[in-house]
Amino acid sequence: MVILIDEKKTRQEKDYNWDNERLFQFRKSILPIYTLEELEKNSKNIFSDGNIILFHESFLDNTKLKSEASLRRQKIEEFVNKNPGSQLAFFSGSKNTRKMQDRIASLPVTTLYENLESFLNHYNQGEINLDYLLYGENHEIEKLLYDSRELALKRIDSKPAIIKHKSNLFISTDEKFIENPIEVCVIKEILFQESDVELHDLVTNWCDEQKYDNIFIPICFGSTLSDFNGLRFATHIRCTKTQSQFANIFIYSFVELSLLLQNPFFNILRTKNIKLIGFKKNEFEIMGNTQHDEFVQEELSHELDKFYLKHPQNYLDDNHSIANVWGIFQLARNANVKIEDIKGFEYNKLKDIYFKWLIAKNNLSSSISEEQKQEQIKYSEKVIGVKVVGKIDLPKIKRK
Amino acid sequence: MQIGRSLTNQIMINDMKKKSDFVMALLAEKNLSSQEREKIIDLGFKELSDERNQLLLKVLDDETTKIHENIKRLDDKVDELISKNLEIKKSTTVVNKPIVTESNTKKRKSRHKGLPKKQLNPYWTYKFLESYNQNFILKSTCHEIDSNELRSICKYCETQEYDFNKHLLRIKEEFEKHSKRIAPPFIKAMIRTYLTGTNQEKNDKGWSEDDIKVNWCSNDVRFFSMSNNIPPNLSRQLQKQKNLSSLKFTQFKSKINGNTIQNFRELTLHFKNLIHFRDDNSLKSVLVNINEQNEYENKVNFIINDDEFPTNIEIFTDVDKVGQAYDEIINLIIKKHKNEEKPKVQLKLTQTKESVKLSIHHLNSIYLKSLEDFKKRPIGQTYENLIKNQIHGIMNFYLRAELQGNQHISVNLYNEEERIIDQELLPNFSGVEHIFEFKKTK
Repeated sequence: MVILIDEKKTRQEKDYNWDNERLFQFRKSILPIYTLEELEKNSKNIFSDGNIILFHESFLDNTKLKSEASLRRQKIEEFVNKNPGSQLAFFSGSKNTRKMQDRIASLPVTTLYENLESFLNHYNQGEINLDYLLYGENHEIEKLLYDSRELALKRIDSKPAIIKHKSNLFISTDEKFIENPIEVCVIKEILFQESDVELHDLVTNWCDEQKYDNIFIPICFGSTLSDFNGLRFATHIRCTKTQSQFANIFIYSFVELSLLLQNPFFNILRTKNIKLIGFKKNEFEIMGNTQHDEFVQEELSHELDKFYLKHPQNYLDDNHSIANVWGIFQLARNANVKIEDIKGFEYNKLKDIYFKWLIAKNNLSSSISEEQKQEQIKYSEKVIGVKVVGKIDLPKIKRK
Repeated sequence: MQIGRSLTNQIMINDMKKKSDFVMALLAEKNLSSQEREKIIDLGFKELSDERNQLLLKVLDDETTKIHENIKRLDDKVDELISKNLEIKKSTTVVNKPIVTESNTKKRKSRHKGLPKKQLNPYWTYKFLESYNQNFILKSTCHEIDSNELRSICKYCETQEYDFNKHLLRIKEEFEKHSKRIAPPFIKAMIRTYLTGTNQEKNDKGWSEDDIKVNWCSNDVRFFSMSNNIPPNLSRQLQKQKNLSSLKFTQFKSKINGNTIQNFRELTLHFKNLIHFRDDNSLKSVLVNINEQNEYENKVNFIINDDEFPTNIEIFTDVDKVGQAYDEIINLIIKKHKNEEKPKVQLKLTQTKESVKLSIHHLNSIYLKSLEDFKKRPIGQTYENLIKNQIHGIMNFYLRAELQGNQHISVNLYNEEERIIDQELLPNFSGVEHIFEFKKTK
């Protein structure tokens, strides 16, 4: 059994979306404890070998045992040390790092609730591994990435890059970012945006403010570092019609190339003027000052053909929906109607990177030519309208 | 000074009155439409609210300065009283052990001229910081703020929505109450500068060894919190819900773990790391970081066995000072080491219910003094500086050593007791071992 000892119910529900209903779904594997009375009443069941105890570090601070909180926590550790089947995780809002040693983990509260579902799913399948709680589904890679990022930040050079006669856009993250990266540049910050819709909106806003020569993107951002969202973001830039669509893109990375190979957007690195560079300001300077061949619209289709994207997972159950979205887009384009103006059609669907890639690859992002418009008008005049050949009075037909 | 302050406040109050009279006169105009009246009320209210806030903040700052001055006086008095009390206690201590003691009291007094009069039991530091961490309002300065915490703060501040000024006022009030507990003045000063930005010397020196200028009263912090109606150290999750950027400042590298601190949330957690050793900020990790930063591994062979140095031991103390003291001892070892091979240093951490002990054992060396010389002058300049600057109030300090002439001693270099040189240490003891003791009970 997993015992979750946390008195902060509001935080659990409001901040992390772990309400009674969600906990109930896992009732066979998790027992939440909110008060000292509950803890004392169930202590025999709780402290039995094989249980996994998730303990809010300040739980006892608000109880009559406040003065001996540290000692009590020590006793819980002793229990776990004596019982080889048990494991323990301390979590707190005053922790900023994840650590695991001898079946005892410590982690930030946000991490615990973010990864709890993944951990419980594996627990239910008989795989008891606190690493799922610490780093989520991809725990081996995630751990490596967290450590690599911390190390890269520690080693970052202090002098900002100097890039002459170029307009530079530096995209940064809200946390664990590179301070003062380039002497003259526009800095934009990704906060919590991760979805295609959000990334599309960022690209539309940022890359159309002016024509940038160089755009620098972090390889990792968002809640899961191993998603390598920087690769997807670069694909968005290439597939979005803005003034900076054809800028040089540099993805600054602390990640070994081999870890990126399986990413669905890896092949964007094979396209023109997109480079993976080091997490160092001097590399920004070298790459930013290098003269690259100009990338033009006519080359786009060919470049985007160098990789293949699978259709979005949320359409898997209904392939017709993909055809429908695509059909509506094509119809609107041919009819010279703005897709945004079509009532009832969820325009955000076209912000999905899959459709954006299809549109950009097939050169469909601009409206149809004037010549084609005239041809369509001429042709439509020749089309004979609907001819009524008779009427059927449905109610009179007997059903068999 | 006092008159100057109250005069400024009176001028501000007069200004506010003039403005409110002006607004009232405008409203008295009969020709105004209801929309125009509404607009005037809105603008007038905004103007007066801003002024009121400024006045409130100014009065608060003035009051805090006054309180600081009083607290400093009180701190000094408390220290003096403790020392006097302990001196009296010391003079009545009876030493029963069959040991060698320093016989000449006069000499001892003159030798210890530069040292603090008496060790302040490190238990008080432990208790002071532990209860700070558990205090219902002060803990908001060393944890990130989640929904539960936010609700508690509002309740305590008697507001429906978060109000930074009221929160800050409560923090300051609570800290001033908390400061009346016994603890070394430098710890109180460090926390006070973190909370208020004001240090006792009234210069622009920041807090902690990192000389951090950002504090709870920094203008940027105030502005960020007031304009977003959130605490400056909001949890990442709530930040996400509100789609807010972190409160950033010029980054610095933490001296204790080398991590980069870039925003206020990280800063509050860094502050916590400066007062609390625990699993994710273990004493071992801090010492290993010091070794790395100073490249001590090139000069010293460290022996740290996992089972002899647990990382889950909790100690509330001044983490900076402990790191500095360790650094001093390693430097001393390097300086005093005379063999051709590298010094071998074994690090161990042990815990009992009463205390935690860190042992720094220089295995392949002896203490370069004879017993007689040691008895004459047990505390040299290095130890004296170490005790004055790092040990006092933080930890007790012991030495076990093999001396020249195959003599062995164990001595309490600095604790609450009278110094006793015990020669009954096992004869097979080798090397020089320095021990730091952190007290958890009186």
